[in-house]
Amino acid sequence: MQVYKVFMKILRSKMSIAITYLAIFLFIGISSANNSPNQGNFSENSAGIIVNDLDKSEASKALIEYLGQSNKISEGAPSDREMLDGIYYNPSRYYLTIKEGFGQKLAGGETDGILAHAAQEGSYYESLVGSKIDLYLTTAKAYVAAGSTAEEALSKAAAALEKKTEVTIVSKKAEGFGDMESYFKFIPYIFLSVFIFALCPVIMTMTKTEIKNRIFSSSISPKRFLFETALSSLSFMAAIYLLVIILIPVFVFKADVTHDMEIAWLNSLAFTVFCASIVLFISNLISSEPLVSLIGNIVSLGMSFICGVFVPLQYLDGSVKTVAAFLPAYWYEILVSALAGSNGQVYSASLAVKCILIQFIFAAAFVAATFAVLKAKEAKKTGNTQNSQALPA
Amino acid sequence: MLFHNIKYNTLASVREKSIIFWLMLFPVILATFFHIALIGVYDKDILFNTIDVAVVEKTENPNFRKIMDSLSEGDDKMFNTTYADEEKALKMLDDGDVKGIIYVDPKLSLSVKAEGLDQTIIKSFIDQYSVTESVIIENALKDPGSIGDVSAAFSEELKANEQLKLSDGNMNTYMTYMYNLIAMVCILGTTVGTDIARRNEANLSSLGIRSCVSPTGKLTKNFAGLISGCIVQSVCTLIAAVYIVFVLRDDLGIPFPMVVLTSVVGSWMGVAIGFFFGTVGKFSEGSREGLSIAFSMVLCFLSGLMVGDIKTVMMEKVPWFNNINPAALVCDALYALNVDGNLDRYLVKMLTMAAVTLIFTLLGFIMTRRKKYASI
Repeated sequence: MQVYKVFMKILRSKMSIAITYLAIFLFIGISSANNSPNQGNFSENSAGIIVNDLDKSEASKALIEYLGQSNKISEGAPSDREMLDGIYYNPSRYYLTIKEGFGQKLAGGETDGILAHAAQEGSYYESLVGSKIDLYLTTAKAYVAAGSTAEEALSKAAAALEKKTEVTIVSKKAEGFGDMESYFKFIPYIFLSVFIFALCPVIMTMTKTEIKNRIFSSSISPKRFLFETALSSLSFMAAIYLLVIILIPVFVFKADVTHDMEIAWLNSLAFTVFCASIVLFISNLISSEPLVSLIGNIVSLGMSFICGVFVPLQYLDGSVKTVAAFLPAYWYEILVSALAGSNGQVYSASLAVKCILIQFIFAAAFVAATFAVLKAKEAKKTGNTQNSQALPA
Repeated sequence: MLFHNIKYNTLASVREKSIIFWLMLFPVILATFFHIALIGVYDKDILFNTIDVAVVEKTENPNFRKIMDSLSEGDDKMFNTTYADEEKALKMLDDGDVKGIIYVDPKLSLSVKAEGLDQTIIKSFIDQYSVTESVIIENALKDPGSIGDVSAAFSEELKANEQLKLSDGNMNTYMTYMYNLIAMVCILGTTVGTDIARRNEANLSSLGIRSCVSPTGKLTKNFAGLISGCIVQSVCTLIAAVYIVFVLRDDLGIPFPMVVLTSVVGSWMGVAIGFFFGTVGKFSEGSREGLSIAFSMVLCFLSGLMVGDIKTVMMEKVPWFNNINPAALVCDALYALNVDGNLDRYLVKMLTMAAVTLIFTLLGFIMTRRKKYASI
């Protein structure tokens, strides 16, 4: 197994970049998977409301308590600049100022300009919190109009607002896979990066004409060379697959091995096979090592941005999605979303088969393209040899 | 001699393949991906858009229908309403044509496929309707004469919650990725700065050995290297800025001359930091280059280039760090230009960048002087 040993020796020198990518992925993937929203009962999206209560009346406290039922409330008196930074970097933030005289004016049925807010203009969160505040104030105002005292109106409004609409989630719930979506969705980026940056330079080194000539002048046959090179590449890929796709979900996330999880493993296996084919293609297409960095970055980042790895599929433009459909990472992401019941995807066995099959077809296409590149290279080499032989001495 | 050195240092830098890739091509590629994937997200994810909803009327409720119809009209309508039977509505929900199904049975209920902001807004609307209806009925039962006043209280338009206008800038939060991209190119100037030290230090490269035995003074050589590095780096940063503003046509919210000024000062800072790094310690050429790229990328990561939320975390947990992180300084300077109505914050950031540049340049010069080699 001389070739295998040499391959692994060269691979060790290229491992630093693979380890860096893996470490960053595991940090982000594990932390985001742990923060995934609970997929049980319907829970409302909540805003982070920072309240500056200048009135400090019973009415203002009641309003804060009401808003706190479905939002995260904190009190403070931020400056305009702090508010600006807050809403710019965190669009779910809502700064509410309860002005002096709020309680008194509300008791008198007057509501104009009793509150002020800062939020991303025209945003969902501005609309959501704004409608809740309006509902509270109009309900209290209605009770005052009906003859209740201010205190009575507030307590009656609070009681009336406790009524909540019944919400049913009708989608098929993945058997525990929902929490794993934010982990599995990053796989295309990490696998493409790790495999291209670590394996391509090694394969390129191993297939250099000088190295090959030296190896073939020994007792190692070309078949054995090819076999051991393929075996070493596959064992590296298998080790990464085993660690990232099976061991971490099972032992770190304590995920159950359900049917959905098995489909996710199969989906990742199909993508790993595609990665193997693209590594083979790039290694044979280019001969300069610095180019690996360029092509690797373009392929991994490009595919990730276009196919919904970094940005959820539902936010991508229709034209971007049309282009993405010609890339395997898109089909990988479709299946992950379907398993998790997100991005408007619904899981079905036929969808799973389709997504996995398309990835295998892409892999087969790249293997065929690699053979074409090798054939063209061979033809060029033969042509050059014949030309040099035809030259007069 | 200074100009001769500047000319050839510039030519040598431009011919470096790694510089062409990392400082010219890579930012352009990354900016294209950011543009394709992120810039439009603001309109879809943050700004309120009309919500597609299906209504299944198991019993008639003319009041509810009237309200739904009024909310489904006009340019800034809240809902796109489709009245359908249950089977069709469920199919629409499955296909992603609607975000939720409102059942009128006679109590209102909601069916959704997933949680989200659209679904929360639909639920909030139904809550609002149900509460209004129940309060009117409750008061009508107690005192029928109060119906007019109670209904008026609900139908009156409220002007209770004034909006504070804090900025006239572009509030697209995803634009910070573009600011961070420009910051990244500036900070990747550390590779150019490291290269200056490599070319002039005898213990770092054979070029340095030749340079050291030449009669040109070290100060002149390093100074020429820094000037050429700053020129090359500024050009690289400006290529990225021009590409973002004029090719991708992304609205940074900043007048272009100010983008140029910030990019140039940021670029000099990156080169100065790299120059200092290049003169410290006895690392090999490869390790030095690797360390400077890793250092730059860590700074960019902490400034929010890879994960935008990191910026918020840093602002809340270690706010002082953003005042000294070179990548965050460039990003914050561009952000301040965009959102602030004055230049106060911008000037502080620019002065800090100038101070960092000066300190690292001086430290670099101090590190390179009086070096002697036993054997070169």
